[in-house]
Amino acid sequence: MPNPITRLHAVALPLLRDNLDTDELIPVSENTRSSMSGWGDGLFAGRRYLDGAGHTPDPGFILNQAPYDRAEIIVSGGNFGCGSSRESAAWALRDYGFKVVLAISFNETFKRNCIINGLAPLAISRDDAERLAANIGRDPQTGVFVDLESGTLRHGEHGTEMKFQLDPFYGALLMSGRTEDDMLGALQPDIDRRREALVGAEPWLRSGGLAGPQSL
Amino acid sequence: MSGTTLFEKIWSAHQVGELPGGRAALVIDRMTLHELSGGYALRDMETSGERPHLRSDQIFAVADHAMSTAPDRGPHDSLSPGGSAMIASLEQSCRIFGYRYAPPDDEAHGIVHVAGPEQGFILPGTTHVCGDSHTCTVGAFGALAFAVGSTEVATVLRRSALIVQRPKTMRITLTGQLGPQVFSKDVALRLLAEHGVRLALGYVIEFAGPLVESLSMEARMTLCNMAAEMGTRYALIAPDDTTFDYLRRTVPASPEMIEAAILSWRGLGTDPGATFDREIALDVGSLVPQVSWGTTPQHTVGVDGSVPDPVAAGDAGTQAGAERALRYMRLQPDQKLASVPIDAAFIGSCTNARLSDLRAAAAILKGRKVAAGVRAMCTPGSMKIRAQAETEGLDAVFKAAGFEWRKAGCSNCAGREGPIWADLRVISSTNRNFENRQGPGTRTHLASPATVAASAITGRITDPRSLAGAI
Ligand code: SF4
Repeated sequence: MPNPITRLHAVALPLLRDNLDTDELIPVSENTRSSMSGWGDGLFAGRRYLDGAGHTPDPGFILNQAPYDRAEIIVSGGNFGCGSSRESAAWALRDYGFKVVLAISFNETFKRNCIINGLAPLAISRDDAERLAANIGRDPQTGVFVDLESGTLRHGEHGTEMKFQLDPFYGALLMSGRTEDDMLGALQPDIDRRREALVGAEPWLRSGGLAGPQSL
Repeated sequence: MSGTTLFEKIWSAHQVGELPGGRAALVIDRMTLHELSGGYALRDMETSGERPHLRSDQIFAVADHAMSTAPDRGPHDSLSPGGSAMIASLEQSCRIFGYRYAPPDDEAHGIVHVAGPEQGFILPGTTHVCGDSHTCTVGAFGALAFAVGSTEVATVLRRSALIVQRPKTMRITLTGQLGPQVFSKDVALRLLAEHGVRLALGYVIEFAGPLVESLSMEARMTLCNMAAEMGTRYALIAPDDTTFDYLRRTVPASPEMIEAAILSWRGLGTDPGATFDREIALDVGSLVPQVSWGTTPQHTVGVDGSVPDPVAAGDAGTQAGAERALRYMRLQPDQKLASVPIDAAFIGSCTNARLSDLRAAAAILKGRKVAAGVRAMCTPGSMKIRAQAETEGLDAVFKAAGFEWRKAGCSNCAGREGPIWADLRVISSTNRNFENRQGPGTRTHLASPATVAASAITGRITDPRSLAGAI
């Protein structure tokens, strides 16, 4: 179960361009892990390292520079997370320590992948994204305040308030730290009853699998 | 009088509880797994000591994506980075949890959406998921089959259920008869050309009408497969006698049980009075074989047509997209498609590598030879299809024509044979013509297996009717 995100004050990484795709978030060459965890060092691997597989940091890449190396928020442009539907793009962000993705718009599959992995995908206007990135560039140490309850964010404690969009159902999940999996856990008795009822009424549902028709 | 749609019948039978925003928890009946999206969840459960909630009869696993299709392949051979380890991991996890895994030389092995139905694993009226965007292929059986991500695969293993946002409903009614050398692939491409890749965004498609009723299960699967390119993850066709005949042959259950099931499945179809949120119709009577010219499946015209001029393409965005596509494809506006030379020809994938597809291609290849310089390759959709084709002597026709005859798997649908087609122009029986999909710089033209075969023979994009004596 991910930690609930209600309010967050953290360093934000500005990468303000459109169409930042999943291949940039996690290149194919890094898609070799056999678990759904442990993807943090693959994040931005194509740009973050000087020598690819050797993982020697490239000091020229922003994620390798303080204070951005401890960023928990990313600020980007339109159609964020487009390209291949690989879920490891969300795992890499999550495992590096990111909690919030602020972008002008999101690829739908990527947005879903954020939610089911406890990352908050928050949509902001282009004007706000540009203003925010400029402010961060001037003063990265101050960090960004995000408040999921009120649907607002600010650069620094006294910065101008900006609004973001998030489906209320997703907002409730993120603020409670629950995933859809957890919600289903609470419904498990109902699910099991329905499952039994279906198999009872339609015994052919058990015709698959190793043992064939007799696998009852 | 109102009625209920096929979709609504399946949805309400599986819905548990109502959640905000039109969402519900749906009980999931069955899941297919492949090595790229399916192995993670099992491996993580193995590590954590958790036991899956899904019974052994609810899972069918097969390594298709990264699996080599070389005729002498070993059980874990792969050309993809990390592929061998993922294949071995899926196989091992299935052994530990008691799930059915089809090893690569078993007849049950094949592309997950091809092998699943052949093994009788897909049943009407069920909910079915797989971590793969073309899961809707098997919606052709009247199963609500849809794509999920890896974390959702884990959730289904753990809960036998998923939270799903209810889609709106769309019926696509198809009428008319297909002419010679025109196939359901051409129908799907035509729909994409006319309505675009966002046609069914937010909708479940039900394909219906006299044409659909006349199609074989294989042709229906091709149609539903291409729904993934229409912006949806759900496609359905009501089960009928064609479906039931197929299931009688494939489902591993007693004849009595199958007949009882059929009795129940007969009630699944959309009721006469039911309404849809959107209706689309297409008459295929004058449809000609279709070929894509660009880098999205909606970039499609008749094989007798020309590459469109981007200037004529609607808004600025569409125009810019078409211009970029032409640059990538190295084609000129108004160029005749039938004149375009090809470097390679591919018959394979979950779209068009079933027995009827191989027969249609072989009918054109018989007694002919692939044009000099064209690399031609066939990867049957499953090992069972491969064996059936060999019984019929189709392999001999392919080989004599100059096609490579490989084992089953996804193969170069997604460039998994290595960069063998780098910078080449390929005519392909697959479903996606995206930039670099089939290899770096590879320029893909989507078409039916017959059009692929005809083009392989002449070395340029060719109307199959011209070789089949149909025009
Ligand atoms: S054949 Fe191609 S489209 Fe089908 S599942 Fe395999 S990679 Fe995907």
